[in-house]
Amino acid sequence: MRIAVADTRLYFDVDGAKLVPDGPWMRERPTVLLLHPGPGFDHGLFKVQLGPSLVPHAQVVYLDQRGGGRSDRSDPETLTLDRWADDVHDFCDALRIERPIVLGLGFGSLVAIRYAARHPAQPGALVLAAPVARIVPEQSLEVYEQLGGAEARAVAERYYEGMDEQAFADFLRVCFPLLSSYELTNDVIIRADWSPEVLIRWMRGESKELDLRPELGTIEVPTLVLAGEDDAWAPLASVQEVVEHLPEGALFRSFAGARHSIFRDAPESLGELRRFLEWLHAEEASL
Amino acid sequence: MKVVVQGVELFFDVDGAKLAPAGAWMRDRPTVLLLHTGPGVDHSVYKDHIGPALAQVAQVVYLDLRGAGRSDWSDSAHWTLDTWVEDVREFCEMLELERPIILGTSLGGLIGILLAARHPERVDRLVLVSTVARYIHTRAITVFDRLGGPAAGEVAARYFADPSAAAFAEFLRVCVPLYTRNPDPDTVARIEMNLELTAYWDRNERAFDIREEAALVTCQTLVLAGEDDPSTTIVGTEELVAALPAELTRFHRFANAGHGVFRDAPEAIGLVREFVLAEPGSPAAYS
Repeated sequence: MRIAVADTRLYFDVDGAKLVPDGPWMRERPTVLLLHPGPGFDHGLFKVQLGPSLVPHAQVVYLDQRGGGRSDRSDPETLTLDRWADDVHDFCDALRIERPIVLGLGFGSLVAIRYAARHPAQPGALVLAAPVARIVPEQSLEVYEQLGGAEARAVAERYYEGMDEQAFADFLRVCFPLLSSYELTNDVIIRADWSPEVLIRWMRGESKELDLRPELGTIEVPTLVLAGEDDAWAPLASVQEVVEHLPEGALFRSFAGARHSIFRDAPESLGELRRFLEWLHAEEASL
Repeated sequence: MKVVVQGVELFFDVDGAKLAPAGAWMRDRPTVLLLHTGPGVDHSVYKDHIGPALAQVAQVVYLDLRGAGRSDWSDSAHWTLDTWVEDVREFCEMLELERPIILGTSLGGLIGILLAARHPERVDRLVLVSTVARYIHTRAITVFDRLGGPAAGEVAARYFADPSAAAFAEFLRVCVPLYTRNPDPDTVARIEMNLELTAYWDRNERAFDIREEAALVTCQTLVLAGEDDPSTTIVGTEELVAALPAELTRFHRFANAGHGVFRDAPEAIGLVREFVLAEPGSPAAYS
């Protein structure tokens, strides 16, 4: 399905009903909105494990963010973190999705942070999987080198510093497989509806000035932060920086051996997520 | 979720993803739009059986029609077949539901037929459950007589002759329980009823006859009916089937089944599933 949001049309998919029969009642289940990594990637990678694991507990909404997947490519001038965040708000508004639990992985978690900071009244909770407040190439390069040696470090260096089509192609070949310990990585790459130009634009532009630290302190909804300890995209120290700047009370779990694809590399993270949903439900019931 | 259609908010629910990972591809699954019976009933009646069964093989979209359930109830000036048909057309356009299979029961079946006749480009295939082309009171009274004895027939006749509040209450008490062989109080309790709409429709809008438009349907159509349906009688459904294009229509009747066949004749669910999975145009779809 697609829906008009601001000046564009966004593709979304849904799995799991919002209302389910429960004796004489229709019981409402939470809505979990999934924000994919990127930018310029699509929602497909969530369909392997994360989405299906949530469907027994929630209505899962997969969104292709502006510029990627089956959403409109959109005006390049609008490919900004503010607009991506506002899209989440306007999308929920258009579909009357109330108090969504917004889960972002990697780049998607940056969108989730900006969204919660700009629209504090809308989200019900946040799950930040592999978030960073700033992009600190040196920290990432160390992990790439540990996992893939000198070549991986060199390729990643060009990705962060001299990003162009060739750098992206090399990154896909050499570094991308290091972001997951899961062997289906190639399937994920092939299945995705990529827009590399969106990623290139982001890496050469806005990402360089990114600093989410001030706005992290304004996030008041319940927040769960997840980290893979071998994630080169969001090195553990970067994720810890996010946690330090969130208000007290944010929950934090890191998973040994997990890379950027936390939910696939560390299936126990899915259990953490379920416990978080149960806790949110109990909190809501006690109000 | 809700979406604004022709100035009113319509509630819809979704179960089952549209895109599913399949090797190197994302595979498109069919979309089935479920239009509920009524008027005055809502989508919840589908959540017991056919909805979850179809969600295994298709994206199932449940819609509360204007005036029903969690959608805007609007007002009696808009409780017409023409308005509902345009609502559904615009709903499909807004969400870019491309050519869904439309499954409608009773009122929902009428809307499906009219949509397919007026906007053939919008409808892939039709499943018509317990649907008649026109409503003939004596046919219904005959079946109430047979199922509930002459007293039931008399209550129905009194209500049809004078749909007053008192007669309606008696009809609800004596006649409605005869709609199915397997009544379930919880199913009834789960409906957000708009009895004002039911009463309005019975007083003012029962004189429809869609035989001419049924003849204009250009898509494959599966018709299912219970032989013990006192509301939309088997005689009425036979008349509808005679009006539909014979070469496109496949008709299944179920003994010992009442209104909305899936509860009384679960084997009907398998037939729909087969119909949904068949390649459009293939003999399996309607031979």
